[in-house]
Amino acid sequence: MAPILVALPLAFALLCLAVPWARLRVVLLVLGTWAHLGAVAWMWVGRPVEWVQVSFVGLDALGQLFVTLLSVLFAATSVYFAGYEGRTAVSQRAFLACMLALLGAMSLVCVSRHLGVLWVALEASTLAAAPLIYFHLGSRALAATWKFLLMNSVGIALALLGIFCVAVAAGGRGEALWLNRAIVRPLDVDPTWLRVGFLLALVGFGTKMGLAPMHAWLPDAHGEAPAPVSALLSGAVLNAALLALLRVYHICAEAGQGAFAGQWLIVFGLVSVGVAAVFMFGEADFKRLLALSSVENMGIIAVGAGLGAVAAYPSMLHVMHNTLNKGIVFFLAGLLGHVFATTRMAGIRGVMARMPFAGVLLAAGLCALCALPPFGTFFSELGILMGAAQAGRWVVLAIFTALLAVAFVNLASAVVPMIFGRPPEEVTPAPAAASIAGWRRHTMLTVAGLLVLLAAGLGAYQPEAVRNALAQAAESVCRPGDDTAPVATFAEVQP
Amino acid sequence: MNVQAAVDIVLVLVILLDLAMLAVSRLSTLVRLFAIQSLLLALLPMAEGLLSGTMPGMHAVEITGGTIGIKVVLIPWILLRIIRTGEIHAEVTPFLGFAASLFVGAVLVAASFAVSARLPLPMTPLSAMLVPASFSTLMIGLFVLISRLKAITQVLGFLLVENGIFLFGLMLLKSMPALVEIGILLDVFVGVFLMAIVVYHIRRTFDHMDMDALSELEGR
Repeated sequence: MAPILVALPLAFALLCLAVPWARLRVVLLVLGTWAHLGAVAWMWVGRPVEWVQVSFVGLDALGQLFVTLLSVLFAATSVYFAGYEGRTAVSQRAFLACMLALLGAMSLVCVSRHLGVLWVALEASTLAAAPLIYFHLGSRALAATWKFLLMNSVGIALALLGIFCVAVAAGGRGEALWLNRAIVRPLDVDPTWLRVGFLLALVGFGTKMGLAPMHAWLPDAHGEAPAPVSALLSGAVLNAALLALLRVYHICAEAGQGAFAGQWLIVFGLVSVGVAAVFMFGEADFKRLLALSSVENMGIIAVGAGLGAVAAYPSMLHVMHNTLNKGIVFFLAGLLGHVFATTRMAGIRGVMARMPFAGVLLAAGLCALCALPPFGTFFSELGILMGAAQAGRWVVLAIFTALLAVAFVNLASAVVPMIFGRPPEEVTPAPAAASIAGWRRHTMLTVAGLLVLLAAGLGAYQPEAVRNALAQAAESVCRPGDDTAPVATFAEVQP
Repeated sequence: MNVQAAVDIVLVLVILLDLAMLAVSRLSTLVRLFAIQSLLLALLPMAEGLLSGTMPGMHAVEITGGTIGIKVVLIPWILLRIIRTGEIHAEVTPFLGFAASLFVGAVLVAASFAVSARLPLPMTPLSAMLVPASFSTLMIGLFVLISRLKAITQVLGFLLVENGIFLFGLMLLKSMPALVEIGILLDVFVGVFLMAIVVYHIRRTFDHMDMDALSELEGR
């Protein structure tokens, strides 16, 4: 089953390269991503969790959660892209093929059962994403592409060294790298090399995940890439790197180094939230602001994962809602970029007055980013805070709350004027809105609206299946030696 | 000659080549030095088999062949082509002078030896020099990445980092599936290929390969 998830998008990518008609290629993109979503849905209905012992690929609870989020985001993005795509500067054929290849590479990240395969897939996803950033051509996009490619390649290379160190720590036995056999007794492992390995993996995967201070590539890449690609980078590519880091974290936890690893996750997480919160102030570009919000959210997840079992469930909840939220806001950013012909926030004013429906959606997106109820981020952040309190980590709790407050103020004060401010009458009155065809605008708005419904719905009411999936995923993150509280306690807080 | 001594000599040569890459000013020479270093590294998997008195296995032959094909032939060929199309700018413009770079390089090599001495391995590697040589190559690669401004020298810095990791990976030769090793090599190849394309576009857009010009993104 799992290999289909990888092979399907790659087959559609090849088809995209072969088909000579541009319209048909877009249809193929949509078909490919929806077929992928169908396969994922079938996997949910059919056999929930499948363990393949000897093969390189197979699904566990964590992989299943991430591949589902990936698939939902790609399915939404492909439909959005059909509306977004206007004048394509780069070769549309290569662009669409890269997008499908990216889906294939990231599915492989989710389903790989060997750290080496996971690394190869993650690096392949960097390579597939790089051409997507160069969509608009020009020197800025080029500089952003270069920065993305070089920083991520070097970062991921360090992570490979980290993976090697983990294997060396286990005395060079290759079994340490097989995820389903990675449960090694603490005595068999050299703690020093395991720690070195985890730190290298943290820095390496952290670069790709956008953890500060290795996030320098992120605002540039998100600012320059077209909106659908930014959504994919934020909602899917960062998640893939996070998954890789969680895998290594899990091995550390099994080998009795969970406390050490968790400590460093918390440090990097807090630094990321802090850096993002401060730099949001004075950011002029909407998409770069949203990119900083991604850094903040990855920091929140890192803190939650680092706290161990007490906050593992809310961290997984945050992963899910962050993916959906990033889709919503970047889709709206792309639409506003078309309508107002700029992504600078000073030029986008009075969305509510000009396009009431988009204004409502933007307000909803802002609430989701700022973790206001009914959106799930409220429950997940609350859960992480409760976890910190439960674990008695009062310093972490204090710093985390203060930084979240700063981020909230900076984000809200930047976005609220865009929603309610006076429309810029003098610049371009009505014709700008008419510059894109009605059906395109409707497609983009509908996709964003559906995602808002999904995010708010999952925030207000969680079906049993989703809750179980999250709890099972949380179990494979948490630290076994630290079971101060059962994993699912938080699940009862949420309706 | 004794195989163990040969391995040690190869590793010393690898470290010397690292230092040489800090002192060379012509880009094409730099690429050739990298090719020589990769060739030396490619021979090491074979030595592993010889040391234990058996013929090198299929796995070792695959890695040697793949490394020679990709890192000794294809990548240098691509890089040399890129350099040749813009002959005027074929000199390295260091952020730091050559003498100062060499000094930093020497300090990094010494630091690598000191760090490896502090980290006792839970296994016996090919040679006691393996981990220090790996760390030296890695550190000098990172140093090239941050101290040289031209896009193409940054690509070489990335490749040095890769070579350092390759050396470290030799300890796991037996436990890494061949599929993964080949995947890593392919990723590196495609990565360098993409980087070469971007360097080509940077040259056309900015008329030179200086990464300083790209700082226009910062002030935004």
